[in-house]
Amino acid sequence: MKTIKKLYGWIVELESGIALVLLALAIVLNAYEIFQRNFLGKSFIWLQEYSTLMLLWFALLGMCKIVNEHQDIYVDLFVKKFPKGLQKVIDVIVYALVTAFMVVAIIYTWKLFLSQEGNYTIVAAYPLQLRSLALLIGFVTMGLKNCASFVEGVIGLFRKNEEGGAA
Amino acid sequence: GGSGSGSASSSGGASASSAGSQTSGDTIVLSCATKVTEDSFEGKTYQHFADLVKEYTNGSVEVQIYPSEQLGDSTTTVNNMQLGTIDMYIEGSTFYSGYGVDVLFTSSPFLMTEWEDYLELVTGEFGDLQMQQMEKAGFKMLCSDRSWQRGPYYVTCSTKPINSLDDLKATKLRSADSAAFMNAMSFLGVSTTVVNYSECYMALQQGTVEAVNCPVSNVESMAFYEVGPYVSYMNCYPQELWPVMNLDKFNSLTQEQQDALVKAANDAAAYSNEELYTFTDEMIARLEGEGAQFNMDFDCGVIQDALHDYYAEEAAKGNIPELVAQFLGLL
Amino acid sequence: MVAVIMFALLILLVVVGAPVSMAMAIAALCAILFCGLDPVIIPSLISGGISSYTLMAVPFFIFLGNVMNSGGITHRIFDWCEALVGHIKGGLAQVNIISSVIFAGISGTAVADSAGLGMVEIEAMKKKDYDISFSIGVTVASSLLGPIIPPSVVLLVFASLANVSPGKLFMAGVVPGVLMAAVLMVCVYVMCARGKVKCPEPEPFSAKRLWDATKHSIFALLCPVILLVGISTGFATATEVGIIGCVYSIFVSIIYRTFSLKGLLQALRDTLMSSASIMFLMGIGNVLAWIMTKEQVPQAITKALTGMTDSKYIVLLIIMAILLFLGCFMDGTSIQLVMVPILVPIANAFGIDLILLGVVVALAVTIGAATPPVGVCLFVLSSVTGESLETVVRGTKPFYLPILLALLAVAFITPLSTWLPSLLA
Ligand code: NA
Ligand code: NA
Repeated sequence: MKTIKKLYGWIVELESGIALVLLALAIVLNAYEIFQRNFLGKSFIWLQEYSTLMLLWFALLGMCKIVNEHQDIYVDLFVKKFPKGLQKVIDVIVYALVTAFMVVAIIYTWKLFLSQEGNYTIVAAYPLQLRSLALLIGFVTMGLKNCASFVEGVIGLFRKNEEGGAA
Repeated sequence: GGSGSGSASSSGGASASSAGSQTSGDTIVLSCATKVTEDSFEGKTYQHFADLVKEYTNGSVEVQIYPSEQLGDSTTTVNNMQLGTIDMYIEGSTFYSGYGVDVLFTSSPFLMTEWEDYLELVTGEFGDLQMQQMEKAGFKMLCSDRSWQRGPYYVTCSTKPINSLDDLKATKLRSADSAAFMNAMSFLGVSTTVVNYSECYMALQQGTVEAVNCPVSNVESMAFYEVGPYVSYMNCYPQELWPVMNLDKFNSLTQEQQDALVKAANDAAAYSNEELYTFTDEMIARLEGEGAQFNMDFDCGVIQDALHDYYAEEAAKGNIPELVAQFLGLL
Repeated sequence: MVAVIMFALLILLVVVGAPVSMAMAIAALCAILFCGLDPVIIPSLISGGISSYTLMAVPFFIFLGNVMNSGGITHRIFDWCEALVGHIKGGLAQVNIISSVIFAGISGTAVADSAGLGMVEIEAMKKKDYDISFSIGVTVASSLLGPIIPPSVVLLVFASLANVSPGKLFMAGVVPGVLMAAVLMVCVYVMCARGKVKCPEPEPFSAKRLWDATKHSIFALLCPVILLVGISTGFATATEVGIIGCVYSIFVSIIYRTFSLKGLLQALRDTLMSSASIMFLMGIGNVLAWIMTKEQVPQAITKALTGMTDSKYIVLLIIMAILLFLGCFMDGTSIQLVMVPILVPIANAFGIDLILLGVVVALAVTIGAATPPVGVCLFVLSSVTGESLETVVRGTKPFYLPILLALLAVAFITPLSTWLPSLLA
């Protein structure tokens, strides 16, 4: 179990590393574009489409790290006021719902991916599959984390009940 | 009801396409995405098309228009139409280039400058080829006459007058984000800058570019005349509107409904073409009243001639579809 | 009906502490299943929503903020602003507003302002012992100036949807923007004078201090100037100009000897943590907006409400109420995409000036960036400061009323928005 967790953490680090490289690349390329447009009178016509593609990958791979570190945007205003036990039950339900969403999202992203076979963007002419691939990788990574949190949550609930029963 | 729903196609999107459009009672409602606003000239002709569909099908098919890119940008919309989550899209043809359809030649500037030539090309053998390519990708082009003209022509809005090719060469021109445009312009010796179309107004105002190519209707709708009051006739591309539908969805309709849709598209095209020039002339008169200066005598043939060698080379490299190159005498 | 279920589910999930993006995603999925739509639109619209040219400004401007921060540049700018207007009651809170007015003249989005300036403003206010939620509140409220004072992405979107002149619309935004800044400054003054918030005594003005601060921060001060020049000469687009800022800031921090590769890497990492979730959220928001459009929800709401009256002013009130309500759940561009085409014919029918409508829509939609549960500025400041969304909302609360009053003033005192553009014609 520990090895799997370690491996997962390693994959997420790799993904966030790639996300950082893509962000840096997008910035450098766009900076060069501003320079060459103004001083050399040239433009990369493919840059806009590739920049948005890079930032799509950046967002999805970045989300993997954010989800893994529980840094997502959420409102804990109300839930903090619930009793601890209820909080844990709610957490498990939320993890289950998110996991369910991720399963649906993965299935349909795969479907989208297959349907985009042979389709290209208009300007840069890169395969549209490059877009859905980013989603696929992001959803699988986030889905795994949520699934694990769900399982841990369920185990946590049972353990607590056992301890409660023993006392 | 759809009698042809027995086509359990392999794409998977087909079965879902019936879910993508609602059926209320016996009426089939088709969702139709467009880029323009409802009250623009084009928006009104799309509504006319929808009205004709209702009339010709005796109310059994209704077209629900979603204007202004409400259902997403072109790439997303065309992708969704292929999947069947949107039934119809009315726009230019370039968006199908990513689906194996030979349309990119229409974005080669000054390759063709006369609508009549274009019409002759696409109603012949080459047009049949395009329609085969569309159907292979899962799309049905509704306008069988291929006559839905858009624009009706291109102009250049600039901060200084453009009366000759030399004037154009001395101007910083905004480029569409297309390699074809940039390469052709650099062959002519015109310097271009890529600017997002939505930012062209500001670019003209701030001097990032001195001239912007646009369909004549946008001179008023994008308010380009305010910042680039010199408007020259510059018909670099003939423009055709493509009312396109998801093929599986089209095939799921009865033969009568299919015929009605095609007839409605052709009739809407004819109606639009009739109104287009009156509308444009009225607009020009209006803008001249506000101080814009129109030069409608600019000779695009000069530019076309200057580009002949360039396009001959492109044709030799295979960058222009063979049938088009033969039609234009480039091969 | 679908909309009611979708929003009820969304709110329920947010309340029980689900991540906002996932609450939106699950609500959207349920609505899709309920309406019999194909779930394949989920990935298609998420990728379509994130792959947007204007959205690129988000990571760029957040990175600019991080680079300016790690190079100590924004601090110097802030010190200078403090020496200039720090003697007014409310001290740094006033500086916060003034710097947003200046920054609004550079940026086109509220996100850019809250991300680019917010961190520094809040850090400076924290150091001087201001109440944290008050500091965040002032920052959120003043960041709303970004899309009102030109250049503005929001106004550009309206101009293209409603076929009105962007030039006139830009001019129309100036007076309302300045008015809103004044309202905020008065509001801060009153709050501090009444002792409602912890607010250190302002220091008296000193010309020598201002001179020293100017010398100390001249290169840093040039940065916003360079951005301003960059965009006004067309050197870079509103989306790209953040990048020029980044390059210049790195250059300046080398001059100030505060540059380090480690700091730059950290700035990149911080940018990832704050901007990826915003972009992902915008993608999911795209799905929600699409469902609402497809199901004709806004049309139904508008039809029902406008059936009740024939007064132009009541219609304006209804329009604002709808926009503010939608602003709680959708991002500004999506709202405009859906609503502007409906509002324009209504405005024409009731004799409402389209320029006025544009400014009202821009203001209302921008306020939506500061209203929970879905508000970009709230999210940005929450992730940038590491404070909870609750703290952010608590700090912003006192400013909702004055901002709404400003919105009402703009809507009902027509010359505020139409006077300046009329000089152009
Ligand atoms: Na601004
Ligand atoms: Na501020």
